[in-house]
Amino acid sequence: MPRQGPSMDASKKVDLKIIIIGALGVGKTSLLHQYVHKTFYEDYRTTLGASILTKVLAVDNTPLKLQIWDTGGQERFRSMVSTFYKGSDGCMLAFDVTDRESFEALDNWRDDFLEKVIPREQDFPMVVLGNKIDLCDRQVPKETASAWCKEKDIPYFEVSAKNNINVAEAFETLAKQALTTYKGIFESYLTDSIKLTPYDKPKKSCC
Amino acid sequence: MADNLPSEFEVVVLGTGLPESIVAAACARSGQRVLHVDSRNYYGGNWASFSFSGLLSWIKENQQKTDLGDECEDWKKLILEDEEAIPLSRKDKTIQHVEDFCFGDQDSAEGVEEAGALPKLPVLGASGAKGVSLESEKECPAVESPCPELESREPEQTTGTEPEGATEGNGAGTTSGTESSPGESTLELGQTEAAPSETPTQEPKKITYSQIVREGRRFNIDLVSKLLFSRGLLIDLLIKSNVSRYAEFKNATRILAFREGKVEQVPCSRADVFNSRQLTMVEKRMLMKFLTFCLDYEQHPEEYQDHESSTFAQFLQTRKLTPSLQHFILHSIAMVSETESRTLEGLQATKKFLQCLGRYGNTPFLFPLYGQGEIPQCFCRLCAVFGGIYCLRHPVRCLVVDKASGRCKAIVDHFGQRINADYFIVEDSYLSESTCTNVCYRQISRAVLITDQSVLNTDPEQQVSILTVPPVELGKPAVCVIELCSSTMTCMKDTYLVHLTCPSTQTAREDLEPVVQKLFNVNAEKETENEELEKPRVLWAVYFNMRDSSGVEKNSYSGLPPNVYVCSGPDSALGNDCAVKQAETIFKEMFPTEEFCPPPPNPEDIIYDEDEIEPEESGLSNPAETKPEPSAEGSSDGGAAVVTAPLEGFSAMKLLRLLFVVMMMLRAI
Repeated sequence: MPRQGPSMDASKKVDLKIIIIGALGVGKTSLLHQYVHKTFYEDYRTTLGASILTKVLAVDNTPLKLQIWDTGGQERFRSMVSTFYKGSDGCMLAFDVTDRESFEALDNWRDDFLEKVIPREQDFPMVVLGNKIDLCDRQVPKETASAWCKEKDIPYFEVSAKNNINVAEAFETLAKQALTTYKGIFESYLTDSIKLTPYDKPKKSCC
Repeated sequence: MADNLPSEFEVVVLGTGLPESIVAAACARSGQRVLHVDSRNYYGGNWASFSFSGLLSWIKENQQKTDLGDECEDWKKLILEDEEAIPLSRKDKTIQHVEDFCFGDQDSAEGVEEAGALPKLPVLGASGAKGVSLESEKECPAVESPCPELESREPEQTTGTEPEGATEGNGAGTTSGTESSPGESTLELGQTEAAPSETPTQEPKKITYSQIVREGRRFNIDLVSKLLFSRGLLIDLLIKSNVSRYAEFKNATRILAFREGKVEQVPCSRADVFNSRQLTMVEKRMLMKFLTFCLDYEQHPEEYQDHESSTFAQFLQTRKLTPSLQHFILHSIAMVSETESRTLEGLQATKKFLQCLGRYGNTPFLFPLYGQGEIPQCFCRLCAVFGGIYCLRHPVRCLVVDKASGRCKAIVDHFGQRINADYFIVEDSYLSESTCTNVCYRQISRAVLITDQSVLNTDPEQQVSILTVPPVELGKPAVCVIELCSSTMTCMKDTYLVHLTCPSTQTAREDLEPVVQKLFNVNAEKETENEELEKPRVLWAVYFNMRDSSGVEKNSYSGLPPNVYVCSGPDSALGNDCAVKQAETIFKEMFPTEEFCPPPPNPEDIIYDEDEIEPEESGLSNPAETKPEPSAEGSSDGGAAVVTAPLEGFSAMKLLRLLFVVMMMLRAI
C-alpha cells in the first residue's frame, strides 16, 4: 500500500497535545501505557525513555492524533519545564485513590496548570482520574472526589491502569472535549508550524 | 516536596542555560545519573523567555540593588579537614543598565490585571508601586535623564508573581471588581479607573498598554535574540537527538535591509530574485552571478586570491555589483563587518547563508514557536526522560574540593545538603567574583520592543523578519533586528515583538536607541510628522546589557579543579553554534568514548490500534513526517507555508542548474 499520495493530505488529521499531571507515583505513566500500549508494569519505575506517546483515533468521524506528554519525572521537585505546558489542548489530572495527599494536591496541580497556559474564553478541557481502584486500602471516597470535580465542572473517572478499567473512556472524553474546543478556536497557528524530522528514517517512504 | 534530593550522582549541573542543558541531556543519554539544578524558579537563566508580567518582575529584580544580608555560615561546618570549599556566587551580576519605557497611556493600566484562567479568586492587594525607570550604574557614562513624556511604570502586579513561577493559588488571573465575568478581561476596568483617556474600544486596532498587561501571557519574550540556521549545529543536534519532537518552528520569512533611511526586502532565493520588482534586470543578473560563484567559491580561487588581505567590502567593490547589491550582500546576507572582515570570511558566510536556503523555506532561518527560551528546556526534558533529576529554586553554596587530589567531590546546597558527584558543570554566572577575578567579559546590548505594526508592511502581515542595520560610525558593530509576528506565539495579536542585539560599546540604550529612533515612532502622544506616522509605533521597550562570557579561556578562572567545567552564557552571534560546540567539547572531555546525544532507541512512540487501523494508516510511521515534499517553487507566501518534510537532495548543483535556467529566462525577456 503506497504510503502517501495526494489523497493522503485530504484526511488531514487534527493534532492534539494532551498532558497528564499529578503527584509522583499516582500512576500517570501506567495510565498512559495502558491506553496506548495496552500494557501494565507491576514494578514501579519513574518514567524512563518514553516521554511522548501518540495515539491515533477517530472521534466524531474526525481523525485525531493525540500526542500525550508524560512528565518525565520532573514533577518530583515541582520543576516541570514550561515547554511541557505550551500548546496543550487538554489536561488530564491524576491522583491515587489510596493516597489522600495526592488528591489534596489536585488543587495545586490544577492551579499550576491554569497559570501556565494561555488563557482561553472557555474552560480548558480537563478530566480527573482517580487511579488504582483495584487496590483495597482506599483513602479517597468516590463521593469526595466527585464532589470536588463537580464543583470545578470537570468530568471524573474512577480508573485502574492495572486492570484497564475506564482508561480508554477517560482519554476519549478528554479527546472529545479538546477537539470541540480546538474547532472553536479561531486562530490555529500551530498547524502552520514546521516539525523537524530526521533525514533517514528507517520507515521512510519512497516518494 | 516529596523527598530530599538523592546524594549521589555522576554529574551535577548548575544552571539551565543552553550549553549546560545540552551537556546534561548528553550525560543522561549515555547513562550517567544527572542532577540538574537552578537557583531560580524558572528555566533557562539568561536564555529564558518570559510572559509580560514575568519580564516586568525580572526587570524589577535587576534594577534593584538588593542587600545580600548576613550569610549563614553553618554550611562551613560540613567541610571536612581534608577538604576545602570554593564558594559560589550569591547574586547574579550578569545584567546591567536595565531601562524600561512605556509609551502608551499608562493611567488606563491602573487596576488592570493579567487575564488568567483562574476565575473567581479574591482580589489581591492593589499595588501602585511605580518601578524605577532608570538604572544608573557607576560605570555608565553620563546617562541622560529621561524625557518628560517617558515614564516607566509597573503595572498592577499580582502578589508574588515571579517569572514563570509556580506560585500556587495566587495566579495572575484575578479579576478585580464586581461585575467582571470569570476569567474574562473586562473593558470596564480601563474605564472606571482611568483618567479621561482613550478607552480600549475606541479604535479596535490601537493597542493600549493596558491591553498588553491584560494579554500578558500571550507574550513570550526572550532574553537572547537568535535564529536557527537551517543547516547548523543546533538544528542538526535537535534532529539527531530527537529533541526536535518537543518543539515546533516557524520560518523566518523575510530578509530586510536598511538603506538610505528605508527598510527594503532583500531578494536572496532564486524565487525572490526572479520576482523582485526592486532590482533591475541587470542587477538580477549581477546578483545571481555573484551568488552562484559564492556557492562554491573554493573552486574558483583565481577570483579572490588577489583579494585575500582586503576586506570583504573592498572585494565586493571589485565585482560587478551596484552599491545597493553590495550593501545587501555585505550586511544582510554575509552579515559581516565592513571594516573587520576579510574576503574569505565574507565568502564563507555568504556560502553558509546560501546553503541554508530552501531547506525549510525561502530564508536560511527558523524560529522556535514560543521563543528561543524553549530550546534549553527541550534538552532538559530529554535529560529528565532519561533519568535526570530536576530541581529549580535550588541555590548551591559551594563546591567541595579534596585537598589531596585537587578534584571536586561534592557540592553543598543552600539547605545544607551535601551531594557527591564525579563531574560538575557550572554556568559562568554561578561562579564567585574571586573565581572570576582575572576574567575579561564582553557585553551584549539588548533591546526588546512591543510595536503595533511591522517595519515593512506587506501582505500577508504575519512575517518573521531579520534586518541588519549597518553602523553609522565605521568600526562599531551592526545592529541585528529580529521582528516577530504574533503567530510565533511570542506576542499578542496585532502587535509585533522586536528584538535588537549588538555587541556592546556602551549601555544598551546608548547603543540601540539611535536604531530604534530610525525605525520606529517613539513619540506616542505628540503630534507627529507624516513621516513619523508611517513608522510603527513603539508601545513598550526595555534595554539591558547582558554579560557575554563566551570566548573566555577556561584557565582564566582561578582555582577551579579539573573536573569542574564552565559553560558560558549567551554569545552575541545570530546562531547557536557556540553553545553546541561548548557542550560537545565538554562532554567529550568527560566521556571520550561515549556518543554525543545519539537518537533514542524508540523514536517512534506511535501506536496504532492493530484491530482498528484506519485504512490510510496501515504500516505507516508518523504520517506528518512522510508527507510529500512541496514543489521546489512552492511555499511562496509568507508565514503560512506548511512544510513538514525537509526538501530532500538539496545540492549545490541543483541550485546552479536552476539559477542557470532563470538567467536564461531573464536574458530572453
